[in-house]
Amino acid sequence: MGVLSRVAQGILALAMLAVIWGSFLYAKPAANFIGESSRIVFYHVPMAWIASLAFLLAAGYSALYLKRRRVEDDEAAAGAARLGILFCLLATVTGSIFARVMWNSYWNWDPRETSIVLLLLVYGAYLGLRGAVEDPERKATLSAAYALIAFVTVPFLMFAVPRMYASLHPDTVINSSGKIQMSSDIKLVFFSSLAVFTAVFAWMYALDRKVSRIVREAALAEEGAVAR
Amino acid sequence: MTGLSRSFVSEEEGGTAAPLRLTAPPAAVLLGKVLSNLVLLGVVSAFVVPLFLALMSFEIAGVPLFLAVLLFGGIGLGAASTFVAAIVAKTAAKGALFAVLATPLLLPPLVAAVTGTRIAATDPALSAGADVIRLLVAYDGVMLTAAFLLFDAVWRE
Amino acid sequence: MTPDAPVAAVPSHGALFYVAAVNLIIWVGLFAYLVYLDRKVKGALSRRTPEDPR
Repeated sequence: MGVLSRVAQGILALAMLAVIWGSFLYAKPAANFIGESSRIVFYHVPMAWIASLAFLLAAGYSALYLKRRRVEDDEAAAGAARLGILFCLLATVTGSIFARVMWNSYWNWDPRETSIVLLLLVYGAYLGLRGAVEDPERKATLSAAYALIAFVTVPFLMFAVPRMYASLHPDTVINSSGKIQMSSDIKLVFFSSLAVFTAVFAWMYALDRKVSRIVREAALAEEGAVAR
Repeated sequence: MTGLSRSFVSEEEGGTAAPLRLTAPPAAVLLGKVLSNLVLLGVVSAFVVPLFLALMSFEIAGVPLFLAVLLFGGIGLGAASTFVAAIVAKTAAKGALFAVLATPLLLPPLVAAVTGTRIAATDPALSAGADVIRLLVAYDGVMLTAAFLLFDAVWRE
Repeated sequence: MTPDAPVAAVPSHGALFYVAAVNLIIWVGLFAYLVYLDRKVKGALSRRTPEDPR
């Protein structure tokens, strides 16, 4: 491993510690939230943001695959979908804990909660489709097509339908008024947290792609050995 | 009320999925498949909807809105399930996979249609359901565009 | 500049436990993914050299 990436990882670890410290001890609890529960925003929102980013990447690489037909793009799309599911799950669980504090119930089928479950279903179905097709090229093509058709329904899932029903969910960061309603200390920790978790995601994603490459090369070598 | 659109869906899903699996021969075209499914869907709805309304003595106050919801909801459901069926037709496990792949895609228009029906049941004005109609039309447009752009890749696979 | 939102009047430590739990769950989740990647790569490599199990 290069010295540079070691240094980058060290900085990332320090930044992460700073964010965790800031989230508990520097930022003051926001008004209108019960007790210290507003601190969850430093963890819950980055998870949701990274999940969106990952699903965007999955769609992008799926489109690239259909265009260029490169195995790497298919692997990148699958890895992004996997990580997207992971972060989506984390967003769901952390949101559920917040719901327990604020509304005294872990799960209440709030429109937000429902739509995030559907989102998990979509990408679970994507991985299910990948598992159901043997031929690698066919798997890549079909799953890329599904990833894209699923991706265009995501805005309906996340924005249009929840908007039709009253939700208890606090305004999302991208809200209708276009202003971020946070005090400056919360804002500082929030955006640091966003940046640091995004960096962690980038690192994990790079690892995932590396692992996918190693697995593919190992499978190729195995085939070669059998052929000989 | 939820039961109303649920019964449509089971008809629609059953109706569209089965012939689609048969219409796999390469000569068929997506447009033909979507259209034939929509016709099928329309015929099924034409029977099921009046029957349901009569049996449940369910009064519709806003008939134009209800028909618009049926039309645009049907187009969206038909387009999405046709495309998913095209994908599923290329895999080994067809039936189970269809439900898994299609359900999350079909739920947004379904939820919108249920809402629209609920509004139509009490409010005679077409404008009362403008949001729902707008959502359904947007979904239809997006779904049809995406399906036509992507179908080529699936079909040639 | 946005003016600072008013700070909660009564400093309460309620829900702090839940925030800690959120933190913990995230780290468990991320770590689990790394374990998954590790197992995946080890599985692939051990299949490649079955005569030489390490």
